[in-house]
Amino acid sequence: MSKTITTFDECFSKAFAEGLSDIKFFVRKGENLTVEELKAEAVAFQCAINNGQAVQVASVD
Amino acid sequence: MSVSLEIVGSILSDYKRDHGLRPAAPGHIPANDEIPIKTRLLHPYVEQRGIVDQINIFEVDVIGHHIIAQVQTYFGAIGAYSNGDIANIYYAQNQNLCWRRFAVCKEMYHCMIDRLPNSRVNTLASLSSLLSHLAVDTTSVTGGFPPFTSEKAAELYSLETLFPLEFRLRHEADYRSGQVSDTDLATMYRIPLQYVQIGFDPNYMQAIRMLRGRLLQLD
Repeated sequence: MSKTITTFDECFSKAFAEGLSDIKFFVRKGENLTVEELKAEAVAFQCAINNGQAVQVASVD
Repeated sequence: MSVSLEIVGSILSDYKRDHGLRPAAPGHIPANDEIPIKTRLLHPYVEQRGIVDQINIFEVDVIGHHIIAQVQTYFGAIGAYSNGDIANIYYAQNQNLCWRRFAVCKEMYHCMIDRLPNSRVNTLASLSSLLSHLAVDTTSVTGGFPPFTSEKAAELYSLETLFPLEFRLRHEADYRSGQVSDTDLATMYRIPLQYVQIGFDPNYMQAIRMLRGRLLQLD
């Protein structure tokens, strides 16, 4: 049974080990934004991608 | 990494040659096929100039509160079923058209500008450092961090591509006199409001004028 990945280190260690060569983000800044909030969002984003919640589109416009 | 707007001028030049470069008409809300600069038409120019063979775009069922998009690059994938070097751009489903366009365009630029190994994020340490910089920009204290410099450059290139200086100059008099508002322009060009405001900041405009050099003639 595969283990659910929930921590930042686990999530991205796996991604880099699987060949991720570079990653960049577009961040919409808010007041008092913390790195912990961003890490949590990055993990949520990655989990959604890994769980098949990403649909390829031809374009956005 | 130094910021050079040559790449923006080059992309816009190709866009003008193939699709024309026409500013939006004040008071007119464009349909999707009337948006002055469309990211879907930029896509082939980016792939031609890019560091990857293929760029894919995905909508992700996630609520992006702060992270609204990202690009993940895979180099050197080998094997019989490999697609070569690829970049996957992911955007959060909850973003509107203006933010989606701006974010996708920004991430496309990473596929052209992140050529040097030190501009890439491929370790936990560099990823943590990038997120720290994105949360609080400390470069004035800590010095430059190439991946963060790249983030800022790509953001600037996105603005200069989707609402280029050529168009801003066309609207500047009306904007300064209040005949057209930043909200009007955000709607006309389908970009986030805050980037219209940045685009018309006098110091920013002056800097971009110097960096762009010779501008393109509008149709």
